[in-house]
Amino acid sequence: MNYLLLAIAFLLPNNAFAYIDPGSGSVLLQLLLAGIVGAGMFIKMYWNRFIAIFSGKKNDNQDSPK
Amino acid sequence: MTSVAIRDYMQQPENEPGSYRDRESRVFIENSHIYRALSNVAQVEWETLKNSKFFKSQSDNGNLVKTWQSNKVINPWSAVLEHEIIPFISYPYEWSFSMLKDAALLHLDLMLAGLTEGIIPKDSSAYNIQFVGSKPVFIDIGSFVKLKSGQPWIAYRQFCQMFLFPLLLLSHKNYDFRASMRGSIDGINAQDFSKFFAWTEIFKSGVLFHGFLQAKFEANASKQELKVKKETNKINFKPEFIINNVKGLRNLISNLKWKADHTTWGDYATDNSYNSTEAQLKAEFVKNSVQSGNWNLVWDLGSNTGIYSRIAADKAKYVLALDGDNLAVERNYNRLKKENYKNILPMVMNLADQSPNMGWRGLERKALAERGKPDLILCLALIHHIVISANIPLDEFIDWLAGLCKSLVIEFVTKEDDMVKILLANKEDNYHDYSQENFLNCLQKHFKIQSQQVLKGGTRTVYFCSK
Repeated sequence: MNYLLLAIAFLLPNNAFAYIDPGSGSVLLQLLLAGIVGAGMFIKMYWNRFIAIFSGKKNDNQDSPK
Repeated sequence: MTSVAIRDYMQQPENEPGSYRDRESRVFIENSHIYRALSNVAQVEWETLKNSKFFKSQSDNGNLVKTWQSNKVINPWSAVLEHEIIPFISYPYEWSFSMLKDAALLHLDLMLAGLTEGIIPKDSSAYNIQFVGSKPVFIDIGSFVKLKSGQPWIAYRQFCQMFLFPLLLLSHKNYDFRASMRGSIDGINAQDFSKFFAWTEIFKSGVLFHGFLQAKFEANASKQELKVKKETNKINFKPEFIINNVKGLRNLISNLKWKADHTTWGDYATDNSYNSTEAQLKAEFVKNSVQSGNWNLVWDLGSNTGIYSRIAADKAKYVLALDGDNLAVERNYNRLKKENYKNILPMVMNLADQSPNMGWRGLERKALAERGKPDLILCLALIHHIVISANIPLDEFIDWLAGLCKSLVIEFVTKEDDMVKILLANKEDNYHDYSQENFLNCLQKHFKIQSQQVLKGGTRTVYFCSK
């Protein structure tokens, strides 16, 4: 989660320092987008298993994620 | 990025002045041939590209401009390619909404196809795409490189500036991107884009992530020291990140719609001022005039629905359907796509303020006439708008036409016409030069009238003339 922390750090105000290639901001955004997309897919993948636990299908507890 | 001009008098390859940013390849023009010279580095990339399934399939379906290795030698370059010629160059600030949208989707589709073999375009300029008729074609073959391991999508920011933000502004805000694209050669940046939206609009597609967040990250990144860049370089970027981002953008853009306001000329087809017999007479006259010659390039000025462009297209190699109203061009373009016309190019063009020479040394993007002069111009139901609405002197307009073409189909509309009465309703009539007599004098200074047809009980007459 290093990159997410780094990204969050950038959202905090800071003193002006030496100029940096502003493209770095867009690169960080791509990583953040990838993280968010990853989180969305994670939820999608496990949602059915999560629901299944509560509908009484005990076997699913033991399965590992594909 | 390249731009192309068709010249037929060169004796040795002339460097295409718009082709300079990419140090690894450069475009040359000689005798109407378009060459791309490659450095050692670019030649290696070309070897990968030309052997890929991606290159073959996308060339076969016409998405990539036809390209082949040439025997030509241009020192000190390592290799030379040749490209098929694009009939007429156009720029994003001359495109309607769906033209830019289709260009964006082409770019993204090419990325997805290329990435299956590890190939990615190194830039995302909208100027890498040209239209042949109503089909977008990717022309910057030198842009394709092998994706290096761990590398992010370097050109993502440029994609947003050149494609995404302009499309979002027109779709969400009905703000026409053309003025911005013409005013800023690099497109619209994230900070400027974000200023159009209030925080209450962050859930409009693309605004929060690609717009606001990118603007914020860019602003903060520029305040940090270089060591931060070193940190980001250590992160191992996976190709899946790029593919997912591209797929997301593709979805986003294909769902964008332009809910245009009613524009003056957008609805011309349904409420124009000719009855159907008159319209048929006019169409017959244009058809007979067009049939009298073989034309390389026709400009249809004030083309609107494109009805006369289509008549000209039967006898011309290529037709430009020019109109100053972007909704009229949008509708014409969408119809042309369905009709599969291959030789009509619609463009948004204000004749009173045509695209000028622009960019580096004023040579990078060319003025309209520099890209190819027409041998026939259609100027129908237009001259009253040019003189009375745009205030251009009648004689200057005719002189301008004469400087461009050898043959002309032109319609004069008298002050007794209903439409002219509307144009003059809220103005003082200072247009003393605007008379049929003066019009004919100006016309006959340059042209000989071959035939004419009176319409609408004498308030309109259409002329076919040539030098």
